[in-house]
Amino acid sequence: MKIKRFIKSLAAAVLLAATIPSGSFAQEPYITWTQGPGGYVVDTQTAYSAEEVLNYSLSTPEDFYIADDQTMYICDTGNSRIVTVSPDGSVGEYTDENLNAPTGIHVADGHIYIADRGAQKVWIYSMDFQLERYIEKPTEAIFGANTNFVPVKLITDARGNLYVVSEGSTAGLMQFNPQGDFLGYFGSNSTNNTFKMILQRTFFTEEQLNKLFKNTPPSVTNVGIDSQGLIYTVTSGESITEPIKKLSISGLNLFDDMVVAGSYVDVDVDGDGNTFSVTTEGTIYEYDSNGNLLFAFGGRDSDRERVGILREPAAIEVTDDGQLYVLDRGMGCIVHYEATEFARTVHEGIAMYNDGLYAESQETWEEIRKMNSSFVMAYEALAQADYKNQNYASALSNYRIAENKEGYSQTYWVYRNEWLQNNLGLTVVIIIALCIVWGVIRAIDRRKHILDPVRRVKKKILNVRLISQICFAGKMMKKPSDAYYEMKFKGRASIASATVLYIWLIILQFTDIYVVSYLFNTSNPWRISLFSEIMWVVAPVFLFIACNYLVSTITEGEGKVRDLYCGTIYALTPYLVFALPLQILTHALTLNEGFIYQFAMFAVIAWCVVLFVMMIKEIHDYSLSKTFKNLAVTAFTIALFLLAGFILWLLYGQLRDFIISLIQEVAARG
Amino acid sequence: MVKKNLKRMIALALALTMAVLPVYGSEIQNTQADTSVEAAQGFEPVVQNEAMTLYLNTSTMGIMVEDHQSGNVYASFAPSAEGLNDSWQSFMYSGVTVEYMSPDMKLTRLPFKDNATADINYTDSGFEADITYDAGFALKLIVSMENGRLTVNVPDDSIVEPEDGNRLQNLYIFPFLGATYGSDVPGYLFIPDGCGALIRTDQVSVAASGAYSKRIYGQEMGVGDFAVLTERSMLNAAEQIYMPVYGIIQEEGQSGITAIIEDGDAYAAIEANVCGRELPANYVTARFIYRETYTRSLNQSGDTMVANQSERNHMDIIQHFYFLSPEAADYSGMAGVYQDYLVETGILERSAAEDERIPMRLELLMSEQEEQMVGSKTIEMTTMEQADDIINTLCEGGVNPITAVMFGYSPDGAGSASPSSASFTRDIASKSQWKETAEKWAGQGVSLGYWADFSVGCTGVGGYSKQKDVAQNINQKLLETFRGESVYYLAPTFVLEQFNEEAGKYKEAGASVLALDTVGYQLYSNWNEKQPSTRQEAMDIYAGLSSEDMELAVYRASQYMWPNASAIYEMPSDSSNYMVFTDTVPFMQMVLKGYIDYYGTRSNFHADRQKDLLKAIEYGEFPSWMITGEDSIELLDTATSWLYTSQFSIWEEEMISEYHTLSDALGSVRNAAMVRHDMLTDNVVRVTYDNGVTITVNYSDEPFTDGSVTVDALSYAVGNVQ
Repeated sequence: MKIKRFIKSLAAAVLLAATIPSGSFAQEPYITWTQGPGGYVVDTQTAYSAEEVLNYSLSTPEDFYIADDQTMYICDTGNSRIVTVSPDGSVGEYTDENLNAPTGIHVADGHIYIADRGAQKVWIYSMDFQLERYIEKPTEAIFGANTNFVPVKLITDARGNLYVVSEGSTAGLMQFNPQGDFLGYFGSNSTNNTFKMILQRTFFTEEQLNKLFKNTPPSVTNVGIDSQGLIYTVTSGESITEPIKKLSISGLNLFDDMVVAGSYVDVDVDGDGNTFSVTTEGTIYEYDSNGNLLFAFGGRDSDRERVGILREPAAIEVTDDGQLYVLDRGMGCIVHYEATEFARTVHEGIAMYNDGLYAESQETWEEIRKMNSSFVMAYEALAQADYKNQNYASALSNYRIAENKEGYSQTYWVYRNEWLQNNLGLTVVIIIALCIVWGVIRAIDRRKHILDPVRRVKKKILNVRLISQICFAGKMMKKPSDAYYEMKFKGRASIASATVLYIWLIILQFTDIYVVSYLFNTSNPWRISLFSEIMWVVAPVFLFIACNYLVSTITEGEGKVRDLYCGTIYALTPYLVFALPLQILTHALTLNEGFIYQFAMFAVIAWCVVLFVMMIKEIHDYSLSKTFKNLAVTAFTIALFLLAGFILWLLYGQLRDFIISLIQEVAARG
Repeated sequence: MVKKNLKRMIALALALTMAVLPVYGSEIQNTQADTSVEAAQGFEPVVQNEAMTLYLNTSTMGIMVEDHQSGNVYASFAPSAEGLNDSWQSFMYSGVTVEYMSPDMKLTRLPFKDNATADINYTDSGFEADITYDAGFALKLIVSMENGRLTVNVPDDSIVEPEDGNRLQNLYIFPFLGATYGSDVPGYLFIPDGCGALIRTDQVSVAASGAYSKRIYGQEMGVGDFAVLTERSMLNAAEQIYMPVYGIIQEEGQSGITAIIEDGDAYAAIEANVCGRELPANYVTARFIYRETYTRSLNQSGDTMVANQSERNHMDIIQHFYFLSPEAADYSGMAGVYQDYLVETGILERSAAEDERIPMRLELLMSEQEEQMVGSKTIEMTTMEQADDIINTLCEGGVNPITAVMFGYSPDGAGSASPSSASFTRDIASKSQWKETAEKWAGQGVSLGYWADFSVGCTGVGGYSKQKDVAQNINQKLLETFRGESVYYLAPTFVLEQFNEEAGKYKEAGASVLALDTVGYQLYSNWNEKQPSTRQEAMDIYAGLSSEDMELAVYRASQYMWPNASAIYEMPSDSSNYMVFTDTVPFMQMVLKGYIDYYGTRSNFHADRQKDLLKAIEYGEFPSWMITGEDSIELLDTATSWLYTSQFSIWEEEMISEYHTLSDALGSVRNAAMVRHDMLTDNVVRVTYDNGVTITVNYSDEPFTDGSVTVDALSYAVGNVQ
């Protein structure tokens, strides 16, 4: 199951009553997923087990916070009060005439900070609920007179600065100093420029532009902070590109390329930097401190409420001893999950790995890999450990599964180094010996012509028509214009030889997948589709030939189909000759030396392009400018062909569906 | 004589009220006191013997049962409570209630009281009532009190429906028998959800609704609304009901009722309610379903209408109510009563095994198919040499006996290999090679078995016809679901055919065990006109599957499979964990231990090794593993991608050490029956067996001691071994 489908299926949990074959009638109502190799998402053991549902008679609660002393503070928004639950389970509440609709709460440094959406103020209380002061709409000039101040969530950092999420604010978090002065904005989202917008901006008039919606960035909807003081923002909504951001001091997102799905509502971070988040669909995600997906579980269930299924999550909190709490606004309850042994082992492994203790973490990661052979992070960590322990062969295979080309390249460099050190001497000796032998043979041959039988055989082979036509390709590389002339008028190439070369081109596509070393291979090792690889080469070539012939005949081109057929493949001679050696060469290179391969391929392809243009010119006997015109028109024709083909295919699909459903209906009813 | 009985009645009713209903708000108490007298009026004794007396109220068809030995009195009526409308009140008074559907799809509930009359014939053991509703429905209710239990019977041929288009939908018989009222009752409802669940009636529930309703033996896919699964879901399915038994404990150690459905279980649903916003009653009952509604699509543009089944489900309802003595008034006692019933009726037989060693279920995945662009490739996950090696290593490690169940032995691989057939792929081994291997392993104490699923049709697997053999629902749509790919459910009659054809061939391939999937838990009616079958017929077909020379192991076996099942695989070890449940109890385990061997879920998937091992000890489950020779990462792109860890070299150590731990714990009770299961504290459980052995399991982080036994944290202790 690839990532794309993962996103689709996460977003649409389907009513189910069917079963999965003897696979998972496990304890929990949800399946737990993790990242597997090749972009797949795989099942794994339960990471968090649903323990219980805590009911404190809440009404649409919007937020909660667990302080260091494990006291839980809940914003019971619908009842305009704060509910406190102490570690021993006793429940208290606080309300006063100030609290209107408390929707955000944070407890730190002996203060209780409450964001009140209804009162549009931030209340700051002491620990025993004495109101100390409040913050209302800032009067500073940089805030702006027309900007709304609707605080919904907030956090404070170690120095007492407040970061407030104001509903609808597109400028990011509002920053206040401990005295309550407004300092500015922090951590806004960026806008998305789509192609459509660019076109609109280029072509629309002022009036039309004013009528469009302003392209403003999505508003930040929630905020979190970790033990190192780094701030996290959450942006809810569908198709948000960066729903969870871990902000550096300067406001840059430290999370890169996260696996996300659904609309996120809150985030919390544990002491090790693992990030926990929950979506409106009721799915909980855990990422490590680098943003790699560790676990995903939970979803919406229309079956009667089961412990662990969420209805409308509003907030999430995690404690350092592996307890996870989710506040559900719809149920008015808190669902309590606990980390299983498996999750604890994974956290242990990650903590050691992030501290750079690769070798020490090896045992833990072996344990994790044992429990799930597809847990991709395990391979990454084990590869690093192997590297440190100088088990290079094992590191290579682990990096490969973890799909870490950098690591693989680095290891390969050392591995190659070792190989060279061990074998270079021997290799050089062998080469020198071969040279000497070859020199001796040639010397003898000059005197005694002992190689004459070989030469006769060679001549005989070359006399075979087909072979000579194939070898004619060599001339293409040396004197292309002469070669084309000879091809056109002297029959130096035939359909048979061209076909042989086409087959060789197809074979090269095979070798591109199987021969090219892992570092430079562009195909997904888990999903090799030979058919599509081949079609990517063969189809354009034939499409080109057909379209070009059509275009050329009406623009006084002289080329016949046969000429085009042969000419095209012969123009690709440099590729045909050099591709395989280059592919084999990749085995000797690391990513650092990749430029050799890239450059060589580039040169070969550029050469082919030149030959190609020459071919068109010579075969049709055009001038240079007409050649380019011809190529442009051919390209356009190809596009039209494809469009027509696509439409036909769609129509065919409709027709086929119709006939099938007709037959099914008749069969079922008849 | 009548006056004396009346006085006794009043006294009994008052005693009942006092005994059963503890402190209430004054309002409720007053209404109890008020109406109990009224309710007790009209009850005449019908059957009187040493053990019990049965009373009947002919105007409501309500009954009362007095258990002379314990002094408990059970009533089938509910005292009226303020705020309940008339229709609820009549429902709670009446003994028999019918629900019918009018032609314009309106469901009406018709309690006996004020809506029907009964023509009663008294018999030696009870009475036969010919009940006729004013709306035109008629049925015969036969009630008899014998051998300390109350039996109710509604024969199918006694049912009459009116001509005016109203159709009989549901029937309730004594729904409030033994019910309690209020939210402070120190008892619980027992729901047979999964392995068993309790709803305590003295705890405030976090669930929005206190109601529970679920069909016995799984949802009916043939009729009713059933959304087709088209891709892998994020969620696990909820558990289902495997046993047609339920009950209520009014007060633990005092009184309670166990109800068992002997016949009509194919068409029954269990409904329960715990005192809450809707209704102040705690009750659990069976709803017998004669008809269901379904959505019929009218045309391609998606218009639908709700329609009702035209032909009703035919069943002879037979249900037994057992009145628990104080010693048996808890779920352990209920399990005992149910077990005795099963033994009496021949459904269960005491296991004759003498072996003291516990067995292991070893599932070996031999090969799997991986789809390529053209055709598919065979991935050899376990070769015969590897399989041999695995068996030898385990036997040398002391693991014995072993049942080795083979997956992926056929050319179709493992995940998409249904409907199964006894064809063997040469890539692994031929039929004769399997036979040889079976003989060799038999000498080592290992029985060979094959996994087979005749109920599911995968695309690309031949052997079944899409027109004839695939089951259809009432809309003539094919029954399909998603198991890695879209698959069909096949006609039960086809399942029987396939079984008869293939079973012998498996035997020839050396099988001593045939492991049947799906038939144990998936019941459905088939409306395919080529070979239709009702839900009851499907049940009978599956229950009739048996082999003379092979043992049948059944995955997640429901009660109807127990007579012929020699072992149960993937034993349900949890309930659905609805928020309304307060406890999950190993009721199914208590019933089956010592009678049918059961194996737990595969240990590969356990997240908490120590805790899951302790649970297996508590539940008396034998170990299971799904193992391969190669790394399971090879399966990433196949239909068995859910098997994320399976390599033998990885798990070898755990398999042997966990086996020995289980062996030490359960060896002394290998063939014993579980008689009691008690929660000593929130985290400590004690299980008592019929040979006197006790096993105490401590899940907490602190050691536990209660004088007789000390148990370390996260550990267990076996006591009283003879």
